[in-house]
Amino acid sequence: MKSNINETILEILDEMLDKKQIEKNEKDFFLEALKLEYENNTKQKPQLDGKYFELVKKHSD
Amino acid sequence: MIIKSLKMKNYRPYKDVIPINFAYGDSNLTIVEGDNDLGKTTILNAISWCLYDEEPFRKYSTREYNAEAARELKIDERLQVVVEILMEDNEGYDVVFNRTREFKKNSSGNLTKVHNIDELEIHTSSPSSNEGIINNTSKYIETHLPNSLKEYFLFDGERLLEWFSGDTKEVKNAINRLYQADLLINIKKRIETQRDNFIEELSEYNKELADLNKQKTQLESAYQEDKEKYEKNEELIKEYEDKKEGYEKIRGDIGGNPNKLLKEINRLEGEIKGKQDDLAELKNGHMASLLKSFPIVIGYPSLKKILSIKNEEGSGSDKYNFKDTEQVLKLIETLFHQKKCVCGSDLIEGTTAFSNMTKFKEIVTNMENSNNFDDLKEKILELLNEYPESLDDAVDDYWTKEGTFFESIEEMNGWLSEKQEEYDNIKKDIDLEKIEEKIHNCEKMISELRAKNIILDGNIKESPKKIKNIQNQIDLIKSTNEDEEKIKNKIEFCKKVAEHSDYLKNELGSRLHIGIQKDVNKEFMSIYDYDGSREKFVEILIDDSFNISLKKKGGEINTSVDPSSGAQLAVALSFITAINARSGYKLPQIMDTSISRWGNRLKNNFTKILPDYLEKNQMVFLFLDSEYEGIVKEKISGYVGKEYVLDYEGPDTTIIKDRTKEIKHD
Repeated sequence: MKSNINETILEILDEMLDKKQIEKNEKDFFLEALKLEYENNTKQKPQLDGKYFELVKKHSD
Repeated sequence: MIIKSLKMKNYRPYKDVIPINFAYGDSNLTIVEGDNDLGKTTILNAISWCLYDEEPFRKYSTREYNAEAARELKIDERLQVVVEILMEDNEGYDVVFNRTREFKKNSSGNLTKVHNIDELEIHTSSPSSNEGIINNTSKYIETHLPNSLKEYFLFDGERLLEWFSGDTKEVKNAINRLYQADLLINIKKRIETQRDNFIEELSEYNKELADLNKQKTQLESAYQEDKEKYEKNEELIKEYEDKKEGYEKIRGDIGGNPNKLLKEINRLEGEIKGKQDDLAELKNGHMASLLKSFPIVIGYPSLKKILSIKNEEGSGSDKYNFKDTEQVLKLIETLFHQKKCVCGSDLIEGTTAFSNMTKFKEIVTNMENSNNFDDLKEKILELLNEYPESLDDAVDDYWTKEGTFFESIEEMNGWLSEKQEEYDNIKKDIDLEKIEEKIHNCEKMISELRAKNIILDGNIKESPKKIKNIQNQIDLIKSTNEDEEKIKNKIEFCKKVAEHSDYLKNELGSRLHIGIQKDVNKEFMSIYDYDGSREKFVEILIDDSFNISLKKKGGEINTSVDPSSGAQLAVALSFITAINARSGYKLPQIMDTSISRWGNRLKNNFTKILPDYLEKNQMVFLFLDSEYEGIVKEKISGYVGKEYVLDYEGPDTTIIKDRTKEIKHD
C-alpha cells in the first residue's frame, strides 16, 4: 500500500469526489479521520472523540 | 505483514532447533518438507500459539512443552517454552512476537505452569511505539493478524471440512478489519456521537436562549403591568380622596352628633303621630256632628233660600234658579241616603217624615214645569214646622264650631307640614353614620393602594436593571457560543459524513465481494480447470457472509463441502489467495497444503498459477516429502527462496535442517 489506508477506500473517495457525491472538505475529513482511526488501532493513541470535534470544526466551516 | 523468521525452543517436538528464516522479496517461497508426524502442522500451531495462545490444528490437547526437555528437568527446575516470530509490518518496521511460558517441575515430577511472567511481548522498531514496546498486544494482533482470519494465512489442508464450516460471521468481521472497513465503521460511530453532541449543544443553546428570552419577556410584561397598575392605583387614590373630601364636607355641614339627631327625629315622629291622631279624632267628631246636624244644617238653609227668593222679590211667578233646585234634589237624595230628614226625624219607610220627604221630592222634581209655587211653599213650611225655633241658632252654632274646627285642622296641617319638612331634612342627615363608615373605607382604600404602590414603585425601579441583566446574559451566550447556524451546519456535516461512511463501507464491501468472487473463480478455474476441459463447475458463489458454494454446469448448487477434497482444496486455496490479493494488508500464506489429494492434472495446474501467487504473496508450503517431488518440485523449485526439511531426532524431538543452499535455480 502506498499509504497506511486501504487503496480501495481512497479510490472510492476519489470517485465520489469526481461524481460530486462528496464535497472536497468532506473527503479531506475522511482522509484525516481514516488516518486517526488507523493510528488509534495500530499505535494505540488515546480516545479520538475530542479530536473529531476539531476535525468537524476544521472541515465543516 | 511479512514473516521473516520463526524460533522455537522446547515447543512440542522442537526442543532446540535452528530458526526458520522465511523467504520474502524476490524469492517469495519457502518450503518446509517433512514426513508424517514430524511436526509440519506443529509449525502452524507454533505460530498460532505464539500469536493467539491457541493450537487449533491439534486434535488433542496436551502440554506444549517438549517431553524430552521435561524429562530432563529436575525437581524445582524450570523450563521455558518459547516461540518467537519476527515479522515486518506494512510500513517496513520489524515486529517481534515472543511468547514464553514457564513450567516448573514439582515434587511429583509433574510440570506446572508458572504465572509470574507476561507471556506475550511485542517489540517493534517503529518510532511511533512506546520505546519499541507494544503495550496493548491483543489489540495490535487483532488489527494486523485477526484471530478469526488466522486460518486464512495459517492453512491446514487436512482440516478442510472444518475450514469450510467455520463461523463465517467472524470471518466477515475479520475481513472488515483487514480491509479497514472497521475504520469506516468507527468513523461513523464517532461522527454520530459528535453529531449527537452538537444536537445536544444546539438544544441546550436554544433552550438556554429560549429560557432567557422568556424571562426577559416576562420581566418586560411585568414592568408594563406594574406601571399600569401604579397609574390605576394613583387614579383610584385620587377618587377616594375626592370622595372622602365630599363625605367630610357633608359631615361638616351636618355637624352634630348623629345620635342627637336621631332623638330629634324620634321626637318629631312622635309629635307628628300625635297630631295626626288628634286630627283624625277631630275629623271623626266633625263627621259625627255633621251627620247628626246635616238635615238641619244643610237642608234648612237651602229650603229657606228657596222661600226667601220668592219672599224677597215679592209676588210673581219668577222662575227660580234651577241650580238651587238641583242642589235641593241632591240634598234630598243625601237625606234619603242618610235616612235623616231636614227636620231631624229618621227617614224610614212608613214614617210620616219619609212620606213627606217623598212628596217633597216629587214637587221639587217637577218644579221646572210647575207654576204651582204655593204648593211648594206649603210643603216646605209643612216640613219646617217640625223644626224648633232655635233652629237658626243651632245652625249658626254648628257653623261656628265648624269654622273653629277647620281652623284647627288647618293649623294642625300647617304644623305637620313644617315638622315633616324638618323630619325629612334630618332623616337625610341620619346617613352620617354611613358617611363615617364611608370616610373610613376611603381612608382604608387609600392606605392599601398607597402600600401597593410603594411595592409597585420598587418593582418599576428594579425592572429595567433586571431586564438589562438578562439581556447581557443573552448577549454573552451569543458571543461565546457559535451561533445557531454554525452548529446546524456542523450537525448537517456530521450527518453527511455518516451517510458517506455507510456508502464507503458498502461500496468497499461490494467491491471486495465482487473482486473476491471474481478472483476466486479465476483462481479456482485456473487450478481446477486450467484448460477448460472439465467444465464440471462453472462458478464459485460467495455470499455476503462469505459462505462458499459451487455451481455445476447443469445449474445444481453444491455447498463447499460437497465436492471432492481436491476441488475443496482448490476452492480453499483460491479463496485464501483472493482474500489476500484484495486486502490492503499483506499476509503470509503458510499452508499445510495437502496437495496429495490432487492428481497430476490439478498439481500441474497449480504449478502453472503459482508464479502469479508468488508475485503478490509470501508463501510457505509445508509439504510431505511425497508432495514435494515430481512435477510439483520441478515446476516450483525455481521460485523457492528458502527450503527446510524436518528430521527425526528422537521420539519426542524433531530437528530442522536448512536445505536452502542445496536449491538449484535454473
